[in-house]
Amino acid sequence: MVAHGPRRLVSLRSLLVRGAQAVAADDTPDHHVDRPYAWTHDDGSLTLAPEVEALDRTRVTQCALSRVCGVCAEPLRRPVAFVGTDEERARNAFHAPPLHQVCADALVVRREVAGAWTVTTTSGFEFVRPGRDEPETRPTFQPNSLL
Amino acid sequence: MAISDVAEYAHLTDEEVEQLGRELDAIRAEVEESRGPADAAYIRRVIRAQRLMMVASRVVMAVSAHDDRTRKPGAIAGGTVLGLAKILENMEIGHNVMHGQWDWMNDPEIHSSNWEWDTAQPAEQWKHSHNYIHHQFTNVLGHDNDVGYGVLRMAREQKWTPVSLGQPVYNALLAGLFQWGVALHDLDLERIRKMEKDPKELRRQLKQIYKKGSRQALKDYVVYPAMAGKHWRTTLAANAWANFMRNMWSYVIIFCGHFPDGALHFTEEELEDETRAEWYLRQILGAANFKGGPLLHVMSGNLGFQIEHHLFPDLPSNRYAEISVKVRALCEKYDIPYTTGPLPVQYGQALRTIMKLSLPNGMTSSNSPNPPPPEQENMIPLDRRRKSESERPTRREETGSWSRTARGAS
Ligand SMILES: [Zn+2]
Repeated sequence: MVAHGPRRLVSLRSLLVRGAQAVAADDTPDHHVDRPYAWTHDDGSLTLAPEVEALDRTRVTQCALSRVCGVCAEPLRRPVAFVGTDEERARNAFHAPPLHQVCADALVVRREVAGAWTVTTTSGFEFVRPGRDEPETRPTFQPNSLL
Repeated sequence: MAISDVAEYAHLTDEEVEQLGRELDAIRAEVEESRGPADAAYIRRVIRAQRLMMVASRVVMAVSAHDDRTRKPGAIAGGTVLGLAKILENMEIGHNVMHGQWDWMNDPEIHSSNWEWDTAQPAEQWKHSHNYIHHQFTNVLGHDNDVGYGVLRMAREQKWTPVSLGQPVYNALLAGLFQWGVALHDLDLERIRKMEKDPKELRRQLKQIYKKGSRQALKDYVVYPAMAGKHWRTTLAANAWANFMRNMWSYVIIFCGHFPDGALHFTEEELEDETRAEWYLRQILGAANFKGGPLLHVMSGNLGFQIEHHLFPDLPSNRYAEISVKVRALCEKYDIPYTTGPLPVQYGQALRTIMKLSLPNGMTSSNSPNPPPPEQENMIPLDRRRKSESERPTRREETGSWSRTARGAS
C-alpha cells in the first residue's frame, strides 16, 4: 500500500518522459535529403545518388498537384526549384518533382558523385503527363516563369 | 464503369483518343503561349473588387449599427455584400490561385504557395484533398472523397445501408455547414470509419483545423461583433448570414460539378497507366458544366466550366469560357457526351440522386444515360494497351510532412 503512491508517481513521470520523447520525435522530419520523399528505396534511405529511375511515380504526381517538396514533403515556397541534367534544362522538361531551393541545393551536392545536376528556379510550372506516342514515359515539369 | 472501359464507352479507337488528346494539347499550348498582362490584370481586378466589397460590408455594418432605423437594413446589406465577398474569395480567387493558375505571373502574393483563404480549412489540407485526391482520382469510387464527401451515397455502385436513409438530412446539414464539412475533408472520414487512419496523423490534422477554424470563428463571431459594442448581436447575425450564404452557394456549385446525370463514376484505379489523352477523356466524362452569364461564372469561380477546369486545372480561370467553345466542338466532333444545362436543372439532378440513393437500388431507377449506340465498324474488339502490373498505382495516403512536424501542427 505504501509503495503505491511513489510507484504511481514514477510511472507518471516515465509517461511524461515518453510523451516528451514522442513529441520530440514528431519534430524530426520524416523526409529530408537522405530520405527524399519522392525517391523510394526499400529501406527508405538513400544510399546512392538519387536517380530519375528511382522516382516514385505516385509521389511525383502527389508533389506536383498538392504542391509539396519532393525532398521534405513540406509545402512548396516561391521560388520553386527543379533539379536536372543540362539536357533536361535545355529541353525545359524535368523529371524530378518541384523542390524547395535549399532541398534542391542539398540534393545537387548529394548527386555530385553520379553526374552533374543543376538547380533551376521558377515561380510556376506546367505538369505534363506522358503521352502515348512520346519518348517520355514519365510525367515532366516545365518551368514557365524562370527566376 | 472501369477506367479501362472509358474509350470503349465513348466508342473511340486508341488512335482517335490520341488524336483528341493532341487537339486538347493544342488548346492548352495556345493559352500557355498567349497568357500575359491582360490575364494578370483580370485577377488583380478581381482581388481589388473583392477587398473593396469586404471593407465596404464591414463599414456599412459598423456605421449602421448605431441607429435604430439603419441597423437592420445595414446588417442585411452588409452581411449580403460580405457573403458575396467571401464567395468571390473562396471560388474565383482562393480555389484557382491554390491550383497554381496564376503562379506564372511571378507575383509573390498571388501564388499557390502563399495564398491562405477565408474559410476554415487550412490551405495545405485543401491542396492535398482537392488538387491531388480529387483532381487526380476524379470520380473514382473509393479514392475520390468528393463523391459524397464521406457522408452521402452518390453512386449506385456504393453500398446501401440503413444509414443512407438519413441522406436528405445529412445533405441539408452539409449544405448549411459546408465550410466545416470542407474543413474536415482531408481527414478522410471513410478511412477513419474503416480504422485505417493513423491516429497520430489524425490528431495533428485536427489540431491544424482547430487552429485555422478557431481563427475564422474568432474573426466573424467575436472580434467584429465586439467592435459593434452593445449591438454585437446584429453584427454576429450578419456575419453568420454571410457565412451561410457562402456555404449554400459553394455547396450548390460543387455538387453541380460531378453529380448531375451524365457525369460518370469509375471503378478501377489503373491511373498511372493512363496516357495523357486517356486522362483527358476521363476528365470530360466525369465532369458536368452549367450555363450562365459572365457574372454567374465569376461568382462560381468559373466552375460552370467544370469540364474545362478538369482538363486544364492550372490554366487561368478567365480563359475557360473561350476554351469551352473549342472543347465542346471537339466533343461533338468525336461524339463524346458534353454534360451541361442551366444551373437549377443541374442542381435538381444532383439533388434527385441524393434523394434516390437514400433508398436501396432496387427501389429506384438509374438516371445515368446509356452510352450512345456504337457504329458498326467500331464493334471490333479494340486493342487496348494493357500495362504492366508493377506499374499499378495506389493512392498516396500520406498528407506530406507538413502535418507531421511541430511547425505544421502548432
Ligand atoms: Zn523541401
